[in-house]
Amino acid sequence: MNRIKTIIALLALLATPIMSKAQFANGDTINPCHIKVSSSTYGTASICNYDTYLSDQDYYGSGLYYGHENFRYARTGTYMWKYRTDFNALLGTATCYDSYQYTLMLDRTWSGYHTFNKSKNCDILVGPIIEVAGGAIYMPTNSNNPVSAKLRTSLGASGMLLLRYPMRTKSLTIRFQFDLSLVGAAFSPEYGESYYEIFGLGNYDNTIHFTHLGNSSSWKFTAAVDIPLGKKQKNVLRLSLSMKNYYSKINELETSQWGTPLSLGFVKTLYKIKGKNHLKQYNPY
Amino acid sequence: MIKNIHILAIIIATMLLPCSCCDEKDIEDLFMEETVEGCFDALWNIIDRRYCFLGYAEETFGLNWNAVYHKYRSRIDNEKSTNFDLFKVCGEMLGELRDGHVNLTSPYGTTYNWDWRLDYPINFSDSLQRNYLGKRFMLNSGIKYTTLRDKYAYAYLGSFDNGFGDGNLDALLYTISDCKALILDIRCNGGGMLTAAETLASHFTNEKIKIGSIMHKTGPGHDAFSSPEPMYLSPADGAIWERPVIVLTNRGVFSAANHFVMMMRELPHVVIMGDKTGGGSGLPMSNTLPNGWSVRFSASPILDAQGNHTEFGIEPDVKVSITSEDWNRGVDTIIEEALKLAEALTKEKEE
Repeated sequence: MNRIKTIIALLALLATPIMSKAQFANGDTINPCHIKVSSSTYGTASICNYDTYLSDQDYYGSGLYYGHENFRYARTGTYMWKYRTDFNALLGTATCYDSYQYTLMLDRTWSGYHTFNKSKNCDILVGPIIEVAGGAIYMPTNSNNPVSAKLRTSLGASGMLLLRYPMRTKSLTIRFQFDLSLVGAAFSPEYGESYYEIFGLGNYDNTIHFTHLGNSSSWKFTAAVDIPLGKKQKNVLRLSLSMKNYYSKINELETSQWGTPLSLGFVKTLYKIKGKNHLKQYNPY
Repeated sequence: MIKNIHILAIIIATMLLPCSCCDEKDIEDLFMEETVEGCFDALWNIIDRRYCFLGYAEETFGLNWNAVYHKYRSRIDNEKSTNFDLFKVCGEMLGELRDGHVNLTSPYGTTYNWDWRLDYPINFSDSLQRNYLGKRFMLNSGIKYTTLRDKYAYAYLGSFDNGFGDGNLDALLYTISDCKALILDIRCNGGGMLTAAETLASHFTNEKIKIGSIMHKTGPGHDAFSSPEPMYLSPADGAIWERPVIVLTNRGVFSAANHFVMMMRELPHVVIMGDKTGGGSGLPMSNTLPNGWSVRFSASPILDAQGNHTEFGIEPDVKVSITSEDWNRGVDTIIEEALKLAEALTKEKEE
């Protein structure tokens, strides 16, 4: 009998670390940095292009829009901040009478925020933002200047106001966000330079420029509302309207791109699991 | 309830804000002048700021672009002129530039200045050419070719509109490898892709050589140009033709074909024969008028290896024209002279 008691006690001792590990994993102490709020929205956008490399006229049109955003907490030492990544794609056509252009613009941003809690239901977030954007405007009727390629990167500031209106189990959230690029670098051919000369002959002189608010401006304003749906409010619908503009005057060439995407999608809250071992631990098989 | 109304109001106000800021008419009023006078002014301005040969045209034939404005602007009136009047007047104004690369395209058609070609003898006839090509010629990548007098290859290329695969050109050169010389006829070749001309020329050199340079405008000023960027011709990876080549030209040789002649004349085993080429050395770009019409114009001048413009043509090494006697006898004088030269060059090489 005593032997049996000793064996049970030894087994219990061996099992202790396993039990405690399992308890941690099952999460009374969820790490907030591992909670990610992810959203994908789809919609349409009205666009207006003015690019004097291609044409001296404004081109108006519309396009399809896709946006994907991730939002989570991050920790630096003991300081907690919010980290956001955003990806946007806009594909559209624009016309000026019988003349037409195709546009594809891709935009990726990384931003970090310090939170100012004004009240329980109101946050103000302010922080730096890094943007990398690329794409092209294609005008098939043009001879040796059919494409205006866009490539730029910038460092700027981003701010947002979050307003929460508590509902049954969740809150309806309204967000106003403004991103502004301050300094960066952008690609631009010279005034009358063909892409044949740049890429065919390798004359890259004076094609990469330092940008600042004096020669280039890029900003985006977004208003979004997250609406919890259903009785249990498990699904959150996001309705978002943005207004974005990029303007530059480099090498005597002027570019102005307006886009006003209206998009709709869902917001998901995910728990981020790092590493293969953690995944194995959660695997029910 | 009041709280919900507030939320709704904020959402609606936010959504209306961007729409009102991007109102199409407001922007249109600021930037567009769609009247006939506005379109005329826009066209004149595009050429004034972007056309690359205004300074050269002033030097060469005394073009005064400001005087051209006053001459034609008086014929345009918002009240009286129709869009077709605008098209005709703009076409005449662009004709003053004497450049085949300058065209205005509208629903009425496209304006051209053909003076560079039609003011000269044609020096080419496909009826005469038929007497040489025969009925059993080969066709590869748009090049018609055959053998004349059993030892000279004759190849005709009417356009650079389509690119060449190196493999096709290798195969073509292989099939004529028994020939002592090549007569490459590009008469009436109106151009096409610059890269196609470069690909073909690359099969005639075994070393990298400088063939010219290109400049571009750096601003709206008539003399605002970048420093010349050298252009090189590198040998093709495949077959290289090192035997004598006689390139036949006439005034119909324009744009990319003119560029091809510019490259070929830098090669020691190449002779240019026939008439002066039509020119067109400016790389054309396009722009749009407020009414949607499209204008094409020369934007980047390409200079030859000696730094000279070839906009108004390249003189041949051996000037030959088709005589009326030969024409009536069904003989192409230029091809006949090329055959004589090929024979002489072959003998010279054999000795």
